[in-house]
Amino acid sequence: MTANARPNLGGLFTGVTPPDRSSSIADALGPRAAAAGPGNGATPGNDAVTGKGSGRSTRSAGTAGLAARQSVRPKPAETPAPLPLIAGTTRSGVSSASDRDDHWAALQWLDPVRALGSYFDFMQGVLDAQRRVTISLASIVSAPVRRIGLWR
Amino acid sequence: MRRVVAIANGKGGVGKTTLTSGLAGQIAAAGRRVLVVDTDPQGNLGRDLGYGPQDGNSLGLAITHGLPLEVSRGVRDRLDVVSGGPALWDVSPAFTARGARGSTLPGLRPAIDGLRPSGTDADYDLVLVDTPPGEPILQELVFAASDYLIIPTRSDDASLDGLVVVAQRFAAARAINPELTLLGVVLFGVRAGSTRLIKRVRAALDDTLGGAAPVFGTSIRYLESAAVDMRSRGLLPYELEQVHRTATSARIKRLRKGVSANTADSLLSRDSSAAGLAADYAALAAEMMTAIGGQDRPSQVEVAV
Repeated sequence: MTANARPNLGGLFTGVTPPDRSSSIADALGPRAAAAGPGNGATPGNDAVTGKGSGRSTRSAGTAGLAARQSVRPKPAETPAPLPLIAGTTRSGVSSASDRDDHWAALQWLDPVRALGSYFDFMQGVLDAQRRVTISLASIVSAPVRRIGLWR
Repeated sequence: MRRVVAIANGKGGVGKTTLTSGLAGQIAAAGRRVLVVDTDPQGNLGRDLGYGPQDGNSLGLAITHGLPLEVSRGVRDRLDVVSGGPALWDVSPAFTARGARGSTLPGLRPAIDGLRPSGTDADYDLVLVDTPPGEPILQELVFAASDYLIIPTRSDDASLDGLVVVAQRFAAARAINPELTLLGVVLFGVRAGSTRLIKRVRAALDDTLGGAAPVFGTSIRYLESAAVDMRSRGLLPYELEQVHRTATSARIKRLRKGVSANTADSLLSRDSSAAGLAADYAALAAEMMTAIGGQDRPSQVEVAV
């Protein structure tokens, strides 16, 4: 360590020098990670994990907010629904510019590829929920056995 | 008020796990409530603390699915542990796959935020997180959940490469956790009395860090025999020192009876060296808590350990 030329890493540790690559987990860290920080409260789905509050310092709150901002994505429910624009067309009988936009949105909604994607997204959600419930139950059932094994 | 401290380096074999268990035991013995989280799939922390290898399932599922963590309570007085193990190999692929699909995972922070010591309303004073060297995603997950980072390093050139790796991961993780702070670098595994070497390496590390953080004044000495004694018996440095005290009186009794002093279960290390090692950890623990106290407001963390 003493003979060779050494890089100065100070900038990387203080934030002055940007890293060679971006974080590999920023996109995959969920909003629940951020929501567990102080002041943000625990999300209902994660009550068992977050318990009675974080107790972390306020210096982490900004971090939590940043992570939340980075990880929020549009939900499937925010996709424009076809029903209102069908009603609008019936009302006027003439297609306005906004109606044309609505028609385009409806066509997108009826796109079979998109519909398939939505179907599989939905099924994935159902499977994930099933998996979590099953693993939770298995963990609860096997916990006493594991505990005995740990201290044997 | 808890502080989460990650112990990490990009290179293996620099003393991360030994340092984590030694510091945790020392600080818990001094009266603080400590939680240790082992995020290494190799799960060697269990050997250091004497409870043996675990599967790491609970921690893996908490990170990827947000399930409640199983905590091994009372591994020592005021010391609880979340075990690592081979199941943590599955965490990185899960993050890569979910990130590509645009869906999200909870990560480490919500899992440990909800943990509390049993039998008290108070929180942990300190959470120490041991990290694997070759798993960038696991290391970044720990950095995203931590307040401070301590980097142990040895005196060789390869350890410098590890510093560069961990510096890059640190900088990348600050995009998620801008408050993450490098608390300092610990020189680990140097021979006691190598003052010239220690001085030179310390100066080199100071140059490399460029004033971003200090090199801790306390180094942890290299003692192979003590390391073997501790791992084979699941003892921490201060416990090895206590065992030596007991063993010395037993040896004297055997000698008085005219029996050989050495038996099959005799310790390999000397009592003086075990005492020196325990003193190193005590000094480093005090220095670490002082450094945390310096980063926080002065009234939040007491210094004495």
